Amino acid sequence: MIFGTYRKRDSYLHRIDPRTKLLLTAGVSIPVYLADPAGLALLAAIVSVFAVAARISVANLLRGLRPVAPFLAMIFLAHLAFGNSIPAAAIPVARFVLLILTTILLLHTTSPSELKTALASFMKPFGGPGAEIAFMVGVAMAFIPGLLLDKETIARAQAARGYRPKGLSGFTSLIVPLLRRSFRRADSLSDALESRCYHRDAARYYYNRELTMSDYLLVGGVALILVLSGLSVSPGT
Amino acid sequence: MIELNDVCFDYSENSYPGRPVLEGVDLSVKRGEYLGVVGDNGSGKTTLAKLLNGLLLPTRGSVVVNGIATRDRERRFAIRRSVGIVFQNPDAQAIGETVEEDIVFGLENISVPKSEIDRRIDRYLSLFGIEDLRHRNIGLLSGGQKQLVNIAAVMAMEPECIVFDESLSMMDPRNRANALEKLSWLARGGTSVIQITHDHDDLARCDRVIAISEGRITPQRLPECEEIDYREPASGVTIPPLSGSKIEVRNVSHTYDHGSEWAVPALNDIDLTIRAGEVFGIIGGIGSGKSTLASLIAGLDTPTSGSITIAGIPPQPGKNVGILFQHPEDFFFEKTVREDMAFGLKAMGASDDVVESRIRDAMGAVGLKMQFLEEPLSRLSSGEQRLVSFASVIAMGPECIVLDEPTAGLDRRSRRKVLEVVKGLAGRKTVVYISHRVRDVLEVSERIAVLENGNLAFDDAKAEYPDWTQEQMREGCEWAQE
Repeated sequence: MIFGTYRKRDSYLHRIDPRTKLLLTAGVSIPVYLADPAGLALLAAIVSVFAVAARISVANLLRGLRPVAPFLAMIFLAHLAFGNSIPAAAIPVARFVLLILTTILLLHTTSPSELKTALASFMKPFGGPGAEIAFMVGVAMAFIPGLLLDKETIARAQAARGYRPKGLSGFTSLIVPLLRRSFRRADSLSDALESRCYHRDAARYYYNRELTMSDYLLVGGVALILVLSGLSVSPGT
Repeated sequence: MIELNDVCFDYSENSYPGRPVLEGVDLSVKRGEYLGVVGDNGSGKTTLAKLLNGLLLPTRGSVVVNGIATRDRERRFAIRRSVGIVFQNPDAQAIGETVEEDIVFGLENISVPKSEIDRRIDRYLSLFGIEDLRHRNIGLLSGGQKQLVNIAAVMAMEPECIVFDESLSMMDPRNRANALEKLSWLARGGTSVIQITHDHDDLARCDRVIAISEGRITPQRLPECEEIDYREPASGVTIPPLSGSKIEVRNVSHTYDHGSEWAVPALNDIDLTIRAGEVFGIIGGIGSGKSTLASLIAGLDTPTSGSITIAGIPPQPGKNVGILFQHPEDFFFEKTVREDMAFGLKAMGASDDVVESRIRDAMGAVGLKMQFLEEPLSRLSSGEQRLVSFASVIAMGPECIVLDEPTAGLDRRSRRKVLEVVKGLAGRKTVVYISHRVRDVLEVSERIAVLENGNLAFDDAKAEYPDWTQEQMREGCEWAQE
């Protein structure tokens, strides 16, 4: 659910600066933890507005929830088991659902490279090491699709020779060639980095962009709504 | 601009003590020179490339770039700035997520101003006609497209010298010809170009060609076709008497992620009959759907619609059909040749005796000596590794064998061997030979098909093919221009 959900599209939310979206996602997660039912309803309304602005279908949102459904059911049942009423047990589930939906919204509308740029920009105050960490995260993110592809290819190469993986031995016969390939890939990648003049103080400036008025308006607007509805926030529900 | 003086190199931590990769190499590369370096798989070509910009340091002797020795750690950046390398494996050198990002990465490292970055992206993408790939995810491009991006990204940094280490290996004939043209264009513009390859055909435009062999370099004329050094099959062995089965592909269409919003159509209503015991050739360029068809015939995927049968029943991988992928040796997972060949047979539940006799027969069929069986796979050359993979497929005793670009990345001699083995299978197995190398396909097959954008464009006897290509040329088809 985390990787590969981004779809390039033109929507209001796609165009918003990734830093703003990252900030909003983090910012909304706090009231999601604290809000009472009325507050949750308000947050749900905000998330719905964003979903419309991102042109994501309801079906897509629900698909994102499917993998965590058993986990949500467990929370619900656990709360019932501890003697909570059905509405009281539903509230923590609603919190999780909202949290997951905001994350889906972020990942659907923000490409991994935009996330990387946003992260690098937030790490800027930490100087050289900060930039390096942001860069490493980026490289690691770029590494994952290759890893998945390798896994798929090895499994097919084995299937082609009539091999049907079973239990633990199936796992080891996959992991050994996969690791070997990954090490080789990492080696080659570091050669490529060096050959292309990578150095840790290299400035990353091409993707820098200025925050615009609409970014400030958006963050301010959401903050204002949350503060004005602050009455309905009562910790500990 | 680059001087190598008495350069020796050995991977001392490696398992070949006392066998240097390079020995006493003297070489001088002038500004604007187009130098070809030719050598077989494993001859030390990549080592030479890495010595040129200081990724590796010589064990003895010196490498000097524009007056700076690569040993001088303080000034390494200046050396990297002057000498760029495009490596062989396109999957392991993409640093950015998208094509644009990948080009930007190098340019930011050398502090090119933003407006100039924009100019160079436009310029170098259009040089290769890949402007439309600018915002695409590199991971989703084909091998040949990735190689074009790799080349554009290094060229955009505009170094004084660029080393191309087998960087054109996955391109189809048209893109390869265009890329070769751009290499000589670079040299004419004053950039030194060092092109490393195993394929003599690529070096026609070079000013000078040298060969690497056994750690030494020798000047070369553009060499003629070499004699084939083909090992005779060991005497007294017979291949299991299998005559192959008829493959019927009926109205097959295939779409990846069928029904989702990301559906990608790959094949459209393909209808083919492949006769028992023939070697049937399938030709297609990048993205033509040929690898998809290979997977379907090999039973690794099921077509979205239509049917494929082998002697009337669906394909069962490892049983009635075997497949050899591009670069199968990348997926070796056992230690020795014997263990790797036994892998599939054991998975099938064969007894030790059967395993042993199948291995012997298969080794004979590909002309490899039995002594190879106890060798670790890493000791073999790329060509030998390919033959071992091939033998592993034959050992399973399938009636049909699908070969997807079986000669990819092989030097001339190894390629010949593979082609000879394929020809030797005619009449005994049904072979589907898939490649973008038209010449190879014409050599091994009597009947061929051509795939274009997922459609069957040609399906007839080999003799009809030249006429058909002529016709296509007249109609301006890009394909037929090899």
